[in-house]
Amino acid sequence: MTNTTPEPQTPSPLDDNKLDGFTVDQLSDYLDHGRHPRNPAIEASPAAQHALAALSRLRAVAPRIMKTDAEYFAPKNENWISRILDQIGVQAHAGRDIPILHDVPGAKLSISEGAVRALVREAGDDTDGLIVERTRIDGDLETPGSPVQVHVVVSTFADATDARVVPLFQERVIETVREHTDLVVTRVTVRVHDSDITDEDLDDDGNLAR
Amino acid sequence: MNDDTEDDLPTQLTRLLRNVDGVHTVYATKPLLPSIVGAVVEAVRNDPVGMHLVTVNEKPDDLTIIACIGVSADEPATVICRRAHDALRNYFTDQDLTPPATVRVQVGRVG
Amino acid sequence: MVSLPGRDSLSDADDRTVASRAADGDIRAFEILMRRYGPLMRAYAARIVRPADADDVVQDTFVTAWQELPDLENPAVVRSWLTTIVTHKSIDRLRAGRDHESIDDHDIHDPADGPADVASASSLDEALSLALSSLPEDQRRCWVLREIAGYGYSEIAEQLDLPVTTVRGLLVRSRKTLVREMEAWR
Repeated sequence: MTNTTPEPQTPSPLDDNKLDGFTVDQLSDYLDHGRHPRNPAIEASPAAQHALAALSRLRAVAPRIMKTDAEYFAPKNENWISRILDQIGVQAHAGRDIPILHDVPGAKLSISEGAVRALVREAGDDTDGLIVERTRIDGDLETPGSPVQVHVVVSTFADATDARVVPLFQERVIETVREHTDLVVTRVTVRVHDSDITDEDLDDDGNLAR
Repeated sequence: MNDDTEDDLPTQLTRLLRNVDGVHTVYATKPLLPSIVGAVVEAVRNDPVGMHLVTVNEKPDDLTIIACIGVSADEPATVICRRAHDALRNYFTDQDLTPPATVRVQVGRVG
Repeated sequence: MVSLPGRDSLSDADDRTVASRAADGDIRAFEILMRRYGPLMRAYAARIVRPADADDVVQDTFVTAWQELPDLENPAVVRSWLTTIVTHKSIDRLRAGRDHESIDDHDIHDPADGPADVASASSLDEALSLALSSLPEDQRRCWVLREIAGYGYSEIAEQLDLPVTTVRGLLVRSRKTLVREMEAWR
């Protein structure tokens, strides 16, 4: 059904009669090994060179083909995202249970560690100049009143002054955790990761170019 | 949804929690897809009818209610959590039912 | 100057940052990853499994990714990591299908699901994408596993339950077709 491979009309550098006795398989292997060890016969044959160049070009455009494909095969609606979100939910990384005190017999109230870590991330989102990457809460979360430490890894941007941004963020973390939980935060450590990202470090897709 | 229908207890408690001030989501407390360990489905997007988000464990003389909620960040999560707990407990007093021995409410998300 | 991601602009952040956040349990960051790479992963899956099965493969991939992200050592490589998961899921799917499906079903290619007519291409990339669709599926799978997933010949042979010599032959034929198409555009 799908073997509608076009009839060879246009000449191609990979046509068997143009390969100077080499095979496409052989030339592909040679290319795969980075043209090493050097094969003088292949290197001396213009036909083989021509074929190698074509194979290299094809390899180079492969990622672009997938990009074009992505447009054709793009999901037709966004349901697929909510279907996945429905499956994973909020609780997958809930972590430990942090008690919330309530003076009623039989009441067992808590906030999940995951929810508190989300609060820490959001404190970062509200602070200009940094993005929170990783969060961790150390200490005995399950015993009310025990001291806990919050550890955060952030990225700051080139135009932000760490000395100003970091203390502001630390304050916000303490504030939000105190507002929403009964935890006693004694310390917020902030490790700054890649503090010198500038526009030039990012490619067109916004990814780190290095 | 129609309040006149004879909903079972978990469904009624779910509806009650959704109406508590500051509660924006009621999460399922049991994995609905056994193939995914620890998965809990957020029910807002789904048809909540017939889905047991609040768990009711009924043993003789030992009724346990388990709920997991998402709350607004406008008030302390602790306050909303206690309010949700009280609402669950009051449901039993108001209906003259045997009160549960244990009411567990977990905040799974703030904001 | 880079604009700073606030609550609504994390979507502008680089892969490493977004994947780190997702690994930290941020479902919003995970959603950004799904939007960023879902279409690409679906396209890739559709080159290995039937396009109709690609949705399931992508869904499985992201559910697995969410569970395993916290263990990903270098979040900057999240894209190739996702590609690896899609490859595994796609091959699992092929294997499962092989056990209880008639072979004929495999060759049905729904034109609505992908490119079909090479003559209508308006660019080289599009022409090659169309040419890839026109390849017999064994050739297409071999080529995609080799060039996109970076699998070696013996690995492809093992995954597709084919002799290595067959894989070599299929790759030669796929390359010949694609190179011919590519050269026609030069």
